[in-house]
Amino acid sequence: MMIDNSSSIFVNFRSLLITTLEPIEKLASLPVNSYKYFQQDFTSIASLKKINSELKSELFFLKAKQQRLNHFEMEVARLNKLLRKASQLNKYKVKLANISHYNISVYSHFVSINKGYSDGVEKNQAVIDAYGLLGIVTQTTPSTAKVQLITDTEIQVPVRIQRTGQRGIIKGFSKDLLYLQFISNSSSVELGDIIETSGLANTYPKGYPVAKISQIKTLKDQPYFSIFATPIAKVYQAENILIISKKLKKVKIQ
Amino acid sequence: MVNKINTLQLKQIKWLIAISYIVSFSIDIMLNISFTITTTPSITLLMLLFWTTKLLTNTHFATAFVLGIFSDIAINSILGSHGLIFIIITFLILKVRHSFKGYPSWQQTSLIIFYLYIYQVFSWFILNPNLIDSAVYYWLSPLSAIIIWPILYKIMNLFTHKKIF
Repeated sequence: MMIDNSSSIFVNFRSLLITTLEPIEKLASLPVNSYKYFQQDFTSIASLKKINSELKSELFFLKAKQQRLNHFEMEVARLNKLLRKASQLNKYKVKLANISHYNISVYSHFVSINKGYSDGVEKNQAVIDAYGLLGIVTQTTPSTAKVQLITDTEIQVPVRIQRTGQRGIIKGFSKDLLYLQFISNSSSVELGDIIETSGLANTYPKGYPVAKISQIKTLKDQPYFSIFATPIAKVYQAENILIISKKLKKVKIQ
Repeated sequence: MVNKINTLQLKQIKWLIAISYIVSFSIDIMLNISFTITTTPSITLLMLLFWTTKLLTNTHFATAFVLGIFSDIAINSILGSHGLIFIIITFLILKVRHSFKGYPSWQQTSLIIFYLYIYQVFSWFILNPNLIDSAVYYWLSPLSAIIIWPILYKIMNLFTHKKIF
């Protein structure tokens, strides 16, 4: 067990075993996949048309938003140049993947996705959905990967409160709650504050929303608040996800 | 004579044993993935207990370890932790397996529930499960063996009887 935690040889062994188990996992996910298949098959044309028009309008708004975002990116880059700051805006490469199945138990919370290391997926890459941070890639095989969700107690993410910039560490607490650590009693924290990734430790890219503060408690004789937050990402409903590559591509200032 | 029959049993039913483990392992994964039921006792462990009490010529330690390793892979826990727990449970049942066959059904089920509780305690100690949402289910789940064990025992007995006689 200790070797499994520390040795890299066992990473390959584990990957081999996961690959061996893949046919059984596919067989085991047959009921849920067939249910999804039949559900999709019986979706009426009217509802498909409705979904299509909704998606078209959403795409239109997102394109309009993207135009403004590009403008802001260039503006920030120019301001950085004026301030002679070495840091510039970083762009991350993203890969689209689908969730094959969820595996939520008292021991771990993870999902299997349909992209593996032959598709360029690597260990420790951050994973997001359309709303926020979902988890991190912990294991890869040639064609699949396992993503440990942020609700897993073993996952700790360096974060900051968006409104104040106060830094802390967020970790999984229960199925729907995260626990924010190291926010001092003297700092300003409000219910509904958005917590985003701080970019420290370079594992999770900076600025992605993680959770919304839902409960704040002051503990007697403790220097820190006890803060609980609900994940922003649709942790247990997501089907399509984005894997963020760690390789950075810097925006050049013209 | 007994040894001869037992050797013959193992040779005749090795495919049945392999298939039964694959099926029980698939059921375990299916319950979790497809039906999001996470608090039933491990069917694979129940199957291991069944074969340990049925085939008296083998210790089943190697099988227990391999099944444990695959369970670790399936639930993404530390490699070897389930292997260790499965071996401990197998070792404990080895002590009573000769008399186990002669027990009435209710006594067998009670003993299985006891072993499942040992499994839960070791899992809690080694794997540190997150019980905030499901502590009650976690500690009550071995009781579901009251239903599962007699069914499993009956089904598997049907297959083994067919093969032997």
